[in-house]
Amino acid sequence: MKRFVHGIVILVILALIVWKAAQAMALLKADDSYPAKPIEIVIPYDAGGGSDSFVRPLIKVIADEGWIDEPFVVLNQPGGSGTIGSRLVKEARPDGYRILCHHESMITAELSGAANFGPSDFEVVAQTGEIVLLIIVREDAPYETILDLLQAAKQSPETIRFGANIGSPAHFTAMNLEAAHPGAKFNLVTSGGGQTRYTEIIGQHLDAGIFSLAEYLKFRSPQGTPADRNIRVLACLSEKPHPELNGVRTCMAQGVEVTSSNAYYWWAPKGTPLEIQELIASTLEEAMQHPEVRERLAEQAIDPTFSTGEAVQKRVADRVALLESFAAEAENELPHFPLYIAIVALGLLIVVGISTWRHRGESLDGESVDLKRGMLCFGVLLAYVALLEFTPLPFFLLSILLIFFLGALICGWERKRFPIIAEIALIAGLGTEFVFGNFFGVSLP
Amino acid sequence: MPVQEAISQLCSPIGLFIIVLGTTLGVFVGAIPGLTGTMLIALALPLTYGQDTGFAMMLLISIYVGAISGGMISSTLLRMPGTPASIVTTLDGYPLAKSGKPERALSLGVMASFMGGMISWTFLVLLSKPVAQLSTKFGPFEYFSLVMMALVLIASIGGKSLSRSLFAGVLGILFSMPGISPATGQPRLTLGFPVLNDGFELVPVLVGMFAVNQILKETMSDGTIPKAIELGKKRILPRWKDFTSHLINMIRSSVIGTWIGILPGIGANIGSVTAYAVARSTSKESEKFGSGHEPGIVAAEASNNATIGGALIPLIAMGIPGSVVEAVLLGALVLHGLQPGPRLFTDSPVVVYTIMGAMFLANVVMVVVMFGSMRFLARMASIPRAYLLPVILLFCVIGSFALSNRLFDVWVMLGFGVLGFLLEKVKIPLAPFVIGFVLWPIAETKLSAGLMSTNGDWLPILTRPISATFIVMAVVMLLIPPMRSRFQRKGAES
Repeated sequence: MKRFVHGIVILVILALIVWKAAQAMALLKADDSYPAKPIEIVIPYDAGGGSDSFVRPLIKVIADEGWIDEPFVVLNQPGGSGTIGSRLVKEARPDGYRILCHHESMITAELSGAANFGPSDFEVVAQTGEIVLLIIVREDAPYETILDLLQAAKQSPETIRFGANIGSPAHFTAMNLEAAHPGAKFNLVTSGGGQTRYTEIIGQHLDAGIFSLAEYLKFRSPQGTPADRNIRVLACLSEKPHPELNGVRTCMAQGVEVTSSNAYYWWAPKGTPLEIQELIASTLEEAMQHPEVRERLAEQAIDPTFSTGEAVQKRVADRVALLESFAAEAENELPHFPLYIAIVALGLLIVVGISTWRHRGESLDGESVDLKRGMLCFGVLLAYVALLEFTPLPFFLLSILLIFFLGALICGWERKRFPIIAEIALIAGLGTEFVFGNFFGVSLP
Repeated sequence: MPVQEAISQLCSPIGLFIIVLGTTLGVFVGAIPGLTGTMLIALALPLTYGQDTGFAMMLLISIYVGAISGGMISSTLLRMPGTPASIVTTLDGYPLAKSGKPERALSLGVMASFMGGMISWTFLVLLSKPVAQLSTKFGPFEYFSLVMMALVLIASIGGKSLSRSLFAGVLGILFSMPGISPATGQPRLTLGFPVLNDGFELVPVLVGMFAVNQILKETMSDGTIPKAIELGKKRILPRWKDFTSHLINMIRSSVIGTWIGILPGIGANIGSVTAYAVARSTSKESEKFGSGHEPGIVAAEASNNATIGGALIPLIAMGIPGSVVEAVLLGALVLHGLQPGPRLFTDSPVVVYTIMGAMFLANVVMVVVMFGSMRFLARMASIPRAYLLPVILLFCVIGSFALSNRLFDVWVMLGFGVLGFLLEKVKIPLAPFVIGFVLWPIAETKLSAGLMSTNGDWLPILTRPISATFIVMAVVMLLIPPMRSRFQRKGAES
């Protein structure tokens, strides 16, 4: 029985080694014309979010149709309101293998100070898809038009609670509205994602908010729902009325000179060769025409617009110029939370210190521990991560070494256990790379 | 009919296969000390992308049920909790197993787990919808007070010393602060490192604090492999008499577990601690607890399984994770384009009923898997450390890395591993730390929104009735432990 198990394990290891060798051979054969390897599309948000669901159908069509030799692959880099993923691309080599897809938060993040870089630190390759924005109130709200809302915000400033995350494109749109109706002043309230904004409007914790068309279509309840449980569009922020919203007038049509929309832009690191930019742009343009993409965009209520070259550069420049004129004066009436928490922590630390001092007779720890071995193991682990980060040594090799050394350390260099530890090391090192690479779609470091 | 649709999806061959697979994997991972359900779920998450939402949730929920149940095996036979949820099971499970009755300990544990799961499932089915409707009444201040109450609750029942628990909680809050401020969108406390713009991610922090720290401690133990108590040939299945004699305890512990599970951010370990404490204080033979007393096992196992159903309630109804695993499940729903909250019932009722049905089926499968593979599981639990620990460490690295493809997260994991080790060294509990870490961002977002809408006025926290109720409950809970110790001291003096 035991020999049988070992036999199988060794067979699996051999198979994995063959797989690895074949992979290495394929890499050697590859030529160096662009693209010679998959192109990473960085999405600075979570998998499943708006940006993610926008990009995935596009790259699926590109892969299916084979317009470009290597596939586009998605790399989600969420966090920091999109600044983490953007920075990753900003600092990437300008070789066309790492491209960012990000909307206008790229502009507002710089203007509001959340990031110290912006559109000018990238090459903007193309703009794809346009998100229509709407101003939403509760069904039974007393405002009929956008002017009613602005008039109310003028009569009693700072009382109309308007949901917009500070520094987000929605925040800038709100300021744009205020500027278009001098004297109007909203009470801007930070309010998370569309779901939160929806619940807070229904629960009357917000008076109005900006939603995308897709959010509105998803959250709107069917006709006949009681007025205090449904939402209504006050105005549409696009230039022309949208066919999905029968009868809803734009802000412009209601006499408020504001248009706003959001769009997805594709950014390459500064200095990316023009032909690479053009190749990517033309591939995207073709993908945007594809019926499958059209269908998915229609589901998400995104208009399938496309622009590239000078047109998109002008568009970005215009948006920057417009948004700059309201550059957010970060009004901060909020308490300084980190400071308060730090003070509380310090106070509690003193209390803990005193109580430890008073009970100092009672011994802290009686059990005997081998601190040295623990520290050695931790040292091996540290070295492993450091080697992964700072050297190009492959993941599987380092992992095999990690497991072998840790195993040997833990069993106290007991020779008779070495064969089994080596088996485990090989199968775990090669096997994790195989399983994660092929089934989970995770490329390990 | 959404209910019928959900049932036909659950009972399809693929559906049943997924549930059996998930539960079995969960039980095995739960049974091995150091591997937790949270980790398995986090690792299974990318696998479900692109699959049907219903099937994805079935897999994740059944892993969850399996892992919490499987943890009892190593708790009982090795005195090492397989998952944090089964720490309390070691108190009575191990002594009973050691006294020559390992079969009995496990058999009671499985029975109690099943009952806990089923009772909390009933609450899940009955309460989700009303809670979802109620939650639209919750404004920012109510959410903030709710979170504060949860924080105080865990500190006051979590550890031996209130000041240490509170300190741990506040420290967790402090570590949750670097990154983009939820209210103003400005980066803060990043110490100039752009990579800290996203702060510390939940998964590396958890994996570090619990898995890495635990493994470090085990490499330092004297090196002898703990020998699992072997199962004899005695009957494993419980008898009807066991069921009737423990019924009251099971119901009480399950209700406690469910209720604790509903509170945001509090996981199965606190549920079982509380239920155990209540079982002991209401028992006539309270001195027997801790020495292999059967009601102790029953209370611990019924309640930790009951927290699952409880914790799913705020997840489905409000989109607030009821525990750490739930935070991952929330991520899974969002990954599939669903936003939990009041709208989920009208937008995707089939998914809601599938989640509920999956929990029910997984509980049934869990019983079969546990009784069926008990002897095998018992041997699995005592694989030599030298074979197991290095592989777990490798999985910790991969798990921390894979969520957002950043090696920085692996460094964070290592850092929190050391921090967790040091904190425990000076007897500061880790649970309040994690809860503070998880809940503060929610609390701060809500409080900021509230303060912005009142132009900086704090008073609504106390004047809005629901909010005030939560705050009063929090203060009462904060005052009980010191008062009680004072009374006890007085009692001892007189």
